[in-house]
Amino acid sequence: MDLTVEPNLESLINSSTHRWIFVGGKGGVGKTTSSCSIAIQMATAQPNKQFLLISTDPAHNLSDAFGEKFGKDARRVTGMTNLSCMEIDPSAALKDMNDMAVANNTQGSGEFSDLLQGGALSELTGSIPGIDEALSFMEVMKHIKNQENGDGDKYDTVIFDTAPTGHTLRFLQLPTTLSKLLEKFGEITSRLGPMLNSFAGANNVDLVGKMSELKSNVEKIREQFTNPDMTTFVCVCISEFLSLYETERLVQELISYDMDVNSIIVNQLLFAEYDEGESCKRCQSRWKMQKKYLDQIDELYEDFHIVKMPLCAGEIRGLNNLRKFSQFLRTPYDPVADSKVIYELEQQD
Amino acid sequence: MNSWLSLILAFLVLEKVWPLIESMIQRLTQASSSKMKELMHQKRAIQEQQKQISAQDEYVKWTKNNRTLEKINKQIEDEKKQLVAKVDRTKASLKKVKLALITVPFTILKIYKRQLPIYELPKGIFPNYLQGLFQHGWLYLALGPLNIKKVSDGAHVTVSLAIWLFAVTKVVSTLEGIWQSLTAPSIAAPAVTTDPIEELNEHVIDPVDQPVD
Repeated sequence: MDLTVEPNLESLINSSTHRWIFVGGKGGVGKTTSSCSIAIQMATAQPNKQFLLISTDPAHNLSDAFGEKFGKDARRVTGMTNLSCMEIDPSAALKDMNDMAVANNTQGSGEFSDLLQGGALSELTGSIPGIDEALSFMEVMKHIKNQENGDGDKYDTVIFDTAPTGHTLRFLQLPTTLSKLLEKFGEITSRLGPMLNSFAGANNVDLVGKMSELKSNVEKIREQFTNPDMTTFVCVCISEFLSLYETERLVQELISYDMDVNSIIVNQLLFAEYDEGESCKRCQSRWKMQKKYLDQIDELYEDFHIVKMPLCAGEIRGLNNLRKFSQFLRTPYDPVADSKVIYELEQQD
Repeated sequence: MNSWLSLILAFLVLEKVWPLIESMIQRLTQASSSKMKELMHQKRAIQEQQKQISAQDEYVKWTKNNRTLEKINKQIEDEKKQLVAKVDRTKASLKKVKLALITVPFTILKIYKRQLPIYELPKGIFPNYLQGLFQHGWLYLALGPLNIKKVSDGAHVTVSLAIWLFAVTKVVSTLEGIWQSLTAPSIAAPAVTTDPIEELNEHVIDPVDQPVD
């Protein structure tokens, strides 16, 4: 029995069970390129399914990667029939919430109404640490609800282009944190009961009911995120000490959250020894350093899919370039046979 | 010596010595955790190893050591929690034992034998009211003025167990206080960098000449 793990993401790309795929790692290692590549390959391999690529990084790059504008509403990628993209915009989402609050408070008057009209709610809540992660989480909950109720657009798989490591870990902790919070809230409501609804004002809002619904949704998400058949995390790194150390930290944290992680994409590899002609001393020296860490990655993560991606001659922007680059997620990059590809990237404006 | 008095003295000594017995038993409980020692030893060994290898040159070994350290730290935390729980259980048990073997019997004995005469004092040394207090105990404070309790006839007045115990415990706690203050670690005097008189003079402002009208 061959126990070696394939150095590609073929099994993930062809997976019919995965609903949530997170792509994350240190800043600047190629998360956006990798998440776009994974999304493109999955959409190409499974044309009958719908895929959604969401950016949860406040410094969005999806629009730049595809060379077209995406917003807070999912929009299909030009040239793809089953891949849509979305960039969650915290300020726009908070403005929507503020407008809803204004609409609900039409009968009110005085300073509170003036504050709402002035957008005070969105300004106040927009600066709360962790608000980006909370809004991304709300988006996840909305999708789960849509799936169950059959409302809105249905997506078979959602791929997350995440923020750098710390923010993502905070996002992934949200189900557990919220779950504990809501449990405490449940204890309070069992004692105070309907009295709590009076705090919600004269709008007859069933606070207890809404909190119970939120709790059940959060539990569903927690179950799905810890199910290895439904959720996986793809780590992206480069072959340097700091990036590897952060990847190791990320892997250990994810394991502690019971989250499946079995793939690592190592980006920006030089493969300088295979260059035609004489490569520069700097590239040779850098490649030597990268190789040293590559060998160690193979040893350290022997049961992971380690995918080695080349550093291209140009920027990987636009659908065509991303398609060319993403093929190496399925078939491992051969520095001799595939070297021409990295020079064939089209110039993007 | 009266057997009751011996018993009461024994209880008194036991009550004073009990904290020592308690701390000895707790120390024995903590010392019996050999697993904790082993884990700490393992942790120190790996930390020493980490200091000697280069993270960049031997990244695999360094990372594997880090993983082992994480596991050991977690085990140490769990072991600590178990130890704290064990110590708390021991404390709770000892508290119950003290209550059952010392506090309750001693209290019953003190109440039951409160008027047991310990020794006699010649009458006339202390005011009558105090003599009544010595003989009948604290109740005399309330009942004496109502003539319900009276000082006995005779040339001597007895000192009851209640009052004698009160005096003994007061003396013992005073001696304990003196011992603690003598053996407490000394607090170093604050360092004085400037001459206090010079510092005082720095703030003296020369009077401004008043304008002459």
